Amino acid sequence: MIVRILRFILGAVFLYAAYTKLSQPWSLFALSIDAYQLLPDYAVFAVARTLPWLELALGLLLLAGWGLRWVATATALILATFFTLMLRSYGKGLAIDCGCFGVGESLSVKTLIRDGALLAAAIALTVMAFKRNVRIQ
Amino acid sequence: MVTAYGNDKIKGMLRFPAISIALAALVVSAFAAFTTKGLGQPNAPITIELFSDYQCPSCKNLHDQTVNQLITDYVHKGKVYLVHREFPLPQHQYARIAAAYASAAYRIGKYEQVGNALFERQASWTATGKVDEAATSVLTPAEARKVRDLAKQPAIEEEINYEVGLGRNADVNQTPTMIIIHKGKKYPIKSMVTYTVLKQFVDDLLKK
Repeated sequence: MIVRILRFILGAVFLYAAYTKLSQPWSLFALSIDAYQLLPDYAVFAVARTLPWLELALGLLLLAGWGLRWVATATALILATFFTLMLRSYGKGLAIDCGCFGVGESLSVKTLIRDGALLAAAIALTVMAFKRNVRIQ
Repeated sequence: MVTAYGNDKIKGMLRFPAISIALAALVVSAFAAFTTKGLGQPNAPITIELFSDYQCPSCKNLHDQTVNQLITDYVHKGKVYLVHREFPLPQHQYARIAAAYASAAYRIGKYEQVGNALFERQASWTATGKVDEAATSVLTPAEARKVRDLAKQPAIEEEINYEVGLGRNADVNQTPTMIIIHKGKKYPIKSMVTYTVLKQFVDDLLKK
């Protein structure tokens, strides 16, 4: 039951994140990535073009429950990356858009708590998936 | 009693549609006269409202690395209309004075020059507080006198307050913030972005 709830929450969040990015020009998401001041322009463009599709795929796979061990692991890794980057930027005092669900949402304690909670959920799902030999829930 | 007399008189005038329309037009034009520090063609397909603070280092970076190039490639070619909005942050001691000088310079047609000078010498006047010296360094003595006088006028203060209010209404809470407007849709971009990435987005919008 818990596995199913976690799958549904994470899947829905990833699908929504993908939708908000794919429904806008990809270069708008590139501007959000660029604001983190981490990557060169070519890498910013590459991430902006591919990440929303990766989020879409993960969202669908989470909802479907296929290959849950690997999908949950990938979800936890991607969320850990987001969380680290957001934490770093917040720590550096960068007043930027978080880029989580399209534009307009500032990076704040609220976004950090939300992302941290999602990361905890993804880690819990990964642990449960490996422990229980979960197939389709 | 004077106020009551004034109110009655205005109410009387408002009974006549022609006078009301003329009054409204006068109010709108007076307001617009000091609120649009625009560069380029107002009917360009894209409008970018740039909320900026002359004392903010990220605003200087955006100005030096992105906005100048944007002006050359898009504003001067009629593709983008760039509107400067003053948004001096309260934690920056001299930002409001700098904004007043820039706004005053706009009234004598020297906004870009004074704006450039303020960003160019940001480190210096931020340390010394000598905003006047930096702002007037690109003006003739007569222009400098005019700008100094204008910068002290309440109308300039009101204009800055108005622009800060515009920013707050648009959820601007940091600088630099660009609001890119295309076909009625607004895209708020917070923080410094590189020219290459901004160019890609502007090109995408122009293709739409």
